[in-house]
Amino acid sequence: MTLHNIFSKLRKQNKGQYLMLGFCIALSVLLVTSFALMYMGPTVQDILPEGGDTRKMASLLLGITIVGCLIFTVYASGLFFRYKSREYGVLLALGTPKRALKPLLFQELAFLTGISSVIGLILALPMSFAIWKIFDSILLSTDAMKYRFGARGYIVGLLFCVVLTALLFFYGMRFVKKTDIMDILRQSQKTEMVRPIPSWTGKVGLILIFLGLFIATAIPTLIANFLHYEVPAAFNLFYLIALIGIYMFMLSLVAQSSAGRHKDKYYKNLVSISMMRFSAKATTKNMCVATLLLFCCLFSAFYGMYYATQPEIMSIDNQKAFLLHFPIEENQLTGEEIHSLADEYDMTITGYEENEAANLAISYYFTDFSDETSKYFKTDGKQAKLALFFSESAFEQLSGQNVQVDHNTYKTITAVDYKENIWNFIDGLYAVTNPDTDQTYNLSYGGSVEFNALSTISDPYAFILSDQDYQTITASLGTQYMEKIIDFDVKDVESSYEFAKALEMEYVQHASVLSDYMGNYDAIEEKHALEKGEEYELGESIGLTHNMDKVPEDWKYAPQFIVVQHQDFMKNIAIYVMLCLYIFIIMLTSVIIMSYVRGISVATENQALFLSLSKLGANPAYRKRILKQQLKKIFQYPAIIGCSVAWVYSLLMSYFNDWRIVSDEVLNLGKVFLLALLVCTLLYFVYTRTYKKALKILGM
Amino acid sequence: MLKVNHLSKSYQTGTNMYPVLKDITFHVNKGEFVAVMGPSGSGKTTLLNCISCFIPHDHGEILLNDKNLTGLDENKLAAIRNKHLGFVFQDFMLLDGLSVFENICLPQIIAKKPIPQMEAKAQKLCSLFGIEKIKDKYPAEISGGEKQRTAVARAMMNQPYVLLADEPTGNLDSKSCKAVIDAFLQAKNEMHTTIFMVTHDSYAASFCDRVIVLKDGEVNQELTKTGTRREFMDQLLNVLRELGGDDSHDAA
Repeated sequence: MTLHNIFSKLRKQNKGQYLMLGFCIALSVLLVTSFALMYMGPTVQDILPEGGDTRKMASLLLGITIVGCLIFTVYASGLFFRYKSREYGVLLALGTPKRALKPLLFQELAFLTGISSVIGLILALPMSFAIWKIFDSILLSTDAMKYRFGARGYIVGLLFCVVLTALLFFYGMRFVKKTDIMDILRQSQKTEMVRPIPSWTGKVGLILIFLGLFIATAIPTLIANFLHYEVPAAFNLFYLIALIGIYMFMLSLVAQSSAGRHKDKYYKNLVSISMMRFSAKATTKNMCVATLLLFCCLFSAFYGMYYATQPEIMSIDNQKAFLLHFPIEENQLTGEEIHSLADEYDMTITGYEENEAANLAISYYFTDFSDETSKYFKTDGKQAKLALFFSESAFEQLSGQNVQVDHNTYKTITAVDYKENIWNFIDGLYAVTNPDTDQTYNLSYGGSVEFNALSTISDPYAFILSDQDYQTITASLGTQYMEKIIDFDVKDVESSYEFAKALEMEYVQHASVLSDYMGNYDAIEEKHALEKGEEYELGESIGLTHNMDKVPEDWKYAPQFIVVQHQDFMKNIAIYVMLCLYIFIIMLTSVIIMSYVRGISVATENQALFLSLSKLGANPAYRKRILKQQLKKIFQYPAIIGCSVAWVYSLLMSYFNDWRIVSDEVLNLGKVFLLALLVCTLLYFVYTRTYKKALKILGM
Repeated sequence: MLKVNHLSKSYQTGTNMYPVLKDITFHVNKGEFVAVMGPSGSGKTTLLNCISCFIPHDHGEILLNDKNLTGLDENKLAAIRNKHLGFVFQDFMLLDGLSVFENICLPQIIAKKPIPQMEAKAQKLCSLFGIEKIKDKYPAEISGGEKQRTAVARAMMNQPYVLLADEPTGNLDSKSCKAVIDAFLQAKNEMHTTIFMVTHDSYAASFCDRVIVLKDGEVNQELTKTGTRREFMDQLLNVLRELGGDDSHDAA
């Protein structure tokens, strides 16, 4: 009989441990690879804009996924090594040299990691396809969102396998190096020093949690709004205060004990507290990680919801479903052509209107930011840029709303429920200049009008003048400053997607060099830049040609078709929500595995203590209560604290984002609360399973 | 106080039965300090485990203050262990996370006794066993002898009918060993405690009133101290030597 034979027998004996670690490795490889397959797949890569925020965020989510999976797998390996330590202790005590054990352990690890990784990699494709299909039936359901395989996801999966294997080998090596016969064989007689935890720890911890969260989320917004100063990115370090708070609060819950005035309670929980006294800091660290994972888990869900309820989602109220604006000199589609195209697609156009608007140079107050001083400051932009102006009657025709604008005043067009941001003031405009005649007219603010379709057509705003003022100011204005506006509805907006796409193509193909401008191009800004001898980067062509097969990105005259915007937005949301859901699943899996492993450790590491209690006459009910108290700490505290902090953080984010909480945000907070309950219920289920297993280990 | 009548216990391995205790009968009177000695494999620890009801016996009966412990359910046995039996173990079995004082309180914490009474009792035991100065320390901070005295004080907390000790001096040096024996004698003399101790240590056994010697699972002989402790120890050493050996104690 060789050492190999012995190991093979031991493997059979402890196959549960091998299965557990193998399962964790396969699961983490499966989660990471399927996530990468989806994210790196051609469909998602085509949809997410290059260098865009969503792509950056999604890459961050992939990073979090990888870290989460590494954490729970390494944690599961800890339990595996702990089980192995007794075998190794006996073998070492019997004279087996460490150098003989090391290759055997590595062979086992290599075999286990190899098999589990292959299983994970094989299952990743069907898994990502299945999840995609689930979303397909709920959210995606467009031709552009078909599942397409991309091999790059597998490269990420393989790299993850390599890193995971290296990490497990590192821990394996450390395990063999640290293995000490006496520690293993005399484990039951091991005594450790107790470090007292001051009574103020919990209270200070709680204060620090709220303080850290408040400072990190609220203070930057407060400073920006009231002191006009943007705090540096290092300000995020204040989140560390909350993290320290969580640790201190958790530490006090785990191991703090002093009789004080409540001696009954103290003595009742004495044994339970004493069990945690030695390993309090290690246990607390572990529980903090579980808390943070739960926080990430719920916050990713919240973020997905937050993203999914952005106000741009299709709303036909105070809106026209189709809007086109283009230089009046452009030989664009005519009303007849649009109607005829609609007929081709069986669409009935309603409320078709055409009119014009003038681009005038505006003098206005706005907020600027200085990179040198990191300060926001109010500035006066004299004839700083162009903005689009409508006459009273043109606006009434296009919007179907009645509006009354007084002489020498203007009205600002905003979206419904618009809230002013830090950059622009709704009443910031004070003068307007005809760029051809250089004639300037002073204007005062006469209120605002809500109309979604025209609210984003011009930066900072589009404005309305009285018919008389419009006539006067735009007199002798060259046609190059004039735009034609067409807006209309169709009877069945939701089924107008095909028509909208066809119209888009027609529109793009009709566009000439006159429309070939980037989204933020401004003729006055270009003029100012050239006068100063500076380069004007926004003046470049976007490469508009007549044979383009899609609407170019970042186009000044991009059509605004609600049904297309909605579809594009839904695609983004679907991907984002899908990625967030993945994070949610991974984080939750990590927490479950970590808590389960820790729970089982309570039983295995305290067998001697439970035996002592039994010998001292503690009946089964008493011992079960002690065990329950221990396990509850491991499951309950991270669940309560992680969920609460995630909810409070979501609340702070919702509020300080725009200084209000709208009904969608209230709804999301409610959903996060329900999700937290669901997570707690799931953890409770795992707790009951762990409890049963621990009872079995302790022979109760 | 403790009566063991015709006690038998066997272990089964496969189809083979190995008798460990064979028809053991003896009694321990109230306030008596009795030791059980014998060579390795003679059944000392099995006998103690049967009396403690940690393991079931096959035949016979164990009477504690005339109450038969045979066939009691786990909750009743737990109550008996807690209220009527005190235990002192070779490896102390103190809970590392509790201070000396809290360890002593433990039996009454389990029994949910009123706190002021519990604390007063624990305080008294600390004074009696000379561990008052270390009562706020943790097991890791005290010596082996102090640990064992703490264990004795803890065993005395519920004023048990019988204090059962399993090799209480096994892990101690001679100085600590004497301190523990002194603690037993204090318990016997000042609290009239009945003590039943399993030991292989002739020196520790020489302080007892009576020694039951086991061999091959049977009571080989009973020795009662009549003369001085020294003479009794010599007598014990001779008997053990004749039986095929057990350890003696250097401190003798």
